[in-house]
Amino acid sequence: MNWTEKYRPKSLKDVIGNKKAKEELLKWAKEWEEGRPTKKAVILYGKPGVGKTTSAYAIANDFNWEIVEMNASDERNREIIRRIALSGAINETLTGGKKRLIILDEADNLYEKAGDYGGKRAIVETIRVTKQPIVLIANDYYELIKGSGQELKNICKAIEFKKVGKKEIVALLRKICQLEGIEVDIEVLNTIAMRCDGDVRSAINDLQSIAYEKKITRDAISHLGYRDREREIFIGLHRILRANDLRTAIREAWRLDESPDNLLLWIDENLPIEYKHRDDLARAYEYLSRADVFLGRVWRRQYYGLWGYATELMTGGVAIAKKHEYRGFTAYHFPKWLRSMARSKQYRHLRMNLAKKLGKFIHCSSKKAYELLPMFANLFKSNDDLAARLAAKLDLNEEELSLLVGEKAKEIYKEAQELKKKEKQAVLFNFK
Amino acid sequence: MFQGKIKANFIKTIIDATAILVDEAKFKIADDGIYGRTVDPAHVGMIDFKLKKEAFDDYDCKEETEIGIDLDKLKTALKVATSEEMVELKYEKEEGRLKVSIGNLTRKIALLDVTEMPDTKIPSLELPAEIVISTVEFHQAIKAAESISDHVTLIADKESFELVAEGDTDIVELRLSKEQLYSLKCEERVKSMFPLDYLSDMVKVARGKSEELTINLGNNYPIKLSFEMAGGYIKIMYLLAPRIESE
Repeated sequence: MNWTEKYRPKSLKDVIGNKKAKEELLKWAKEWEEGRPTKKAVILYGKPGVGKTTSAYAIANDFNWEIVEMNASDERNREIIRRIALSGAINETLTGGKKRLIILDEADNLYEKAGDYGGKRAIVETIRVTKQPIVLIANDYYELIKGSGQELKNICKAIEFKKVGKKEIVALLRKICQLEGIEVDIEVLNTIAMRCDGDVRSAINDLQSIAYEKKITRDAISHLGYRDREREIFIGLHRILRANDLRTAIREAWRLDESPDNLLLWIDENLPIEYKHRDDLARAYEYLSRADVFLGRVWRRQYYGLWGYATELMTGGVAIAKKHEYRGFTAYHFPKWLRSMARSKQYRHLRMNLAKKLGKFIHCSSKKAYELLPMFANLFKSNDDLAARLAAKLDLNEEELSLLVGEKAKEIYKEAQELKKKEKQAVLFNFK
Repeated sequence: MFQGKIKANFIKTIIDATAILVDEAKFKIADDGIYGRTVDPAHVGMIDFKLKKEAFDDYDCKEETEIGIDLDKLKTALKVATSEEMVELKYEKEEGRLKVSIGNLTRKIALLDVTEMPDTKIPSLELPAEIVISTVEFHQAIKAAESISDHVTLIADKESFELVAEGDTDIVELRLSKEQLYSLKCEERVKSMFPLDYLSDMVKVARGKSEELTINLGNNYPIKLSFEMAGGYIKIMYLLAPRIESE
C-alpha cells in the first residue's frame, strides 16, 4: 500500500506544518458548524504535497462531514459542476442533518481540458447559493482567480499553504520508519527532507521507494534520482496499457501530469514490451501513429484543441487495440529518445546559437545557416588566420568555436580576442 | 459464472432506474438474484434495487461476484429489444465481459473495474409517515410542479397528503384525502422540500411500471420512494435528500 495513503492524517491536528493555515481553516469550519460563515467557501492554495487536500479531508473527518469530491479525473465542465457541486451544495445529505463538504481539487486547471469556459462561472454560481461548505484547492491562486474567476476573490476566503519545514518532515519520516519497523540512517532522512523542498508527499514517496528492506543505509540515497516521477508514470502506463476499455485508459491519461508529446514517447517505448502478440502490436502502433499525426497538427497550427484527439488515440486507441490479455509484471523503460535528447541538449543548444550568429552575418535564417555549418567548419579549418578573424567578427565563444574547428578552438579563440582588442583600440584611435 | 433470461422490460427498467443517478454502477450477482445500490456523485440521491432470481427464467449463479457496468453501453445494447422480448445475460469471470443475447444477436460488453467503486450503505432513517399513492397521479403533479419551479414541498398529516410548488408567479397544488390514497399512515404533520430534477426522474421511472408508489416522509428529512414490479420479484427503492430551505 502507498504510504502517502496509509499515513494520511485523519485529523487536522495530525497534519504537519502550516500552523497558521490550519488555524484559519479550523476557524472557517467552526463558523459553518455554528451556522453563520462569513465566507461560504475557502481556497486552499500552495505547492503540491504541502497538505491542502489532506487538510480538507481531515477537517471533514474532524467535524463528521460527508464528502463530495470532484477531482481532475472527472470531466469538469459547466454541466457536470452544476450536476455534482451545485446539487450537493443546495441539498441536504441522505443521512439527514449532517453537513457535506464539497471539495474541488485542482480547481486552477479545470477548464483547458474540454475547452469549456463555463466551469469557473459554474463554481461562482455554486458558491453564491451554497448551503454547504465548499473547498477549492489550487496550486496557483492567480490562475484560479483570473478571467471569470475574479469573482472568487470576493466570495472565498483564501488560505495559503506554505512549504513544510525540513525538521517537521524528518520527524514525520522517522515516525513512519518506526511504525514500519525500519532501521534508518538519520542522514538519509535529512537528505530526503532536503531534496523534497517542502513537499511532504514526495518525501514519503521517496522514503517508500528506497525502503524495500528493513534497513536503509546511506547508500540508498543514490537510488533516489528521479524515481518518484518515473514511478508515477510507470503506474499510469501500466493502467493504460492493461485497460480493457476506452474510458479507463483515457481517464488514466488525464490523471498523469504528462504532456501528450511525452506520453506518446513513453507509450512508444514500452508498447513492444507489454504487447507480446504481433497483431496486437501492429494495431496499437497504427493508433499511436494516428495520435502522432494529431500532435503534428497541434504543433503546426498551434491549436491545442487537437491534443484531446491525440491523447485519446494514444491511450484509449492503444488500449483497445489488444485482443489478448497480458498479465504479470512488466518492467517499463524510460524513453530512449528523451534520454538521448536530454544528453545532447547542451550540444544542440550550442549549435543553434552558432547558427544564429552565423545567420545574422550572412543574411539568412538561422535554420539555413544551420545547414551551412559543415561548410563553415571546413572554411574555418582551412585557414587559422581567417578563422580567427571570422571568430572575432562573429563574436564566437570558445565552445562555439570548438564545434567548428575542434581542438584548435583554444588557440584561435585567443587570437580572435587579440584581434578584437586591437580593433577596439583602432576605433578609439580614430576618434582622437 | 452467471446466466439468466429476463424480460427486456424488466432489465431495461433496472438500468434506466440506476442511470438517472450515475453513469457507472456496481451490481452484485448472488445466488438468489442481482442487487445494486448506488449513490449519485453529489450524494443527494440513492437507489437500491433487488432483482430476485424468480424474475428470471433459468437463473443460474455459481459464485457470487460483483460487476461494474457502463450503464449507457448496456442501455444501447438493450435498445434493440422490444419490451416483451427475452434477453439472455451471461457472465464468465475469465472473459471479463457481459454477454447480452437478444434472439440470435449477441453483444459482449466490456466491464469496468469494481475495485474503485465504493460500497454504499443505506442510512438508517426514521420516516414517520407512509403514503401509498397512484403513480400516475403523483407523476402528473410532479410534472406540473416542474413547469413552474425547481423544488417541491411534500406535506402529510393524519388526514391528507399534499404537494405544493411555488414558482415566481404561479402555484401548483395537489391535495389528496386519506380516502383518495391507497393508504396513509401518519401520526403527526411532517413537511419536507425536495429538488425536482431528481424527484421527477425518479417518479418517471416508476410511471407505467407500477400502479402504486410508496412514499416515506419525515420532517426536513430524506424521502424514500419505493415500488415493485413482476409480482414483487423486482423491488426498486430511492432515497432523496431534502433541499435546504432558505432562511
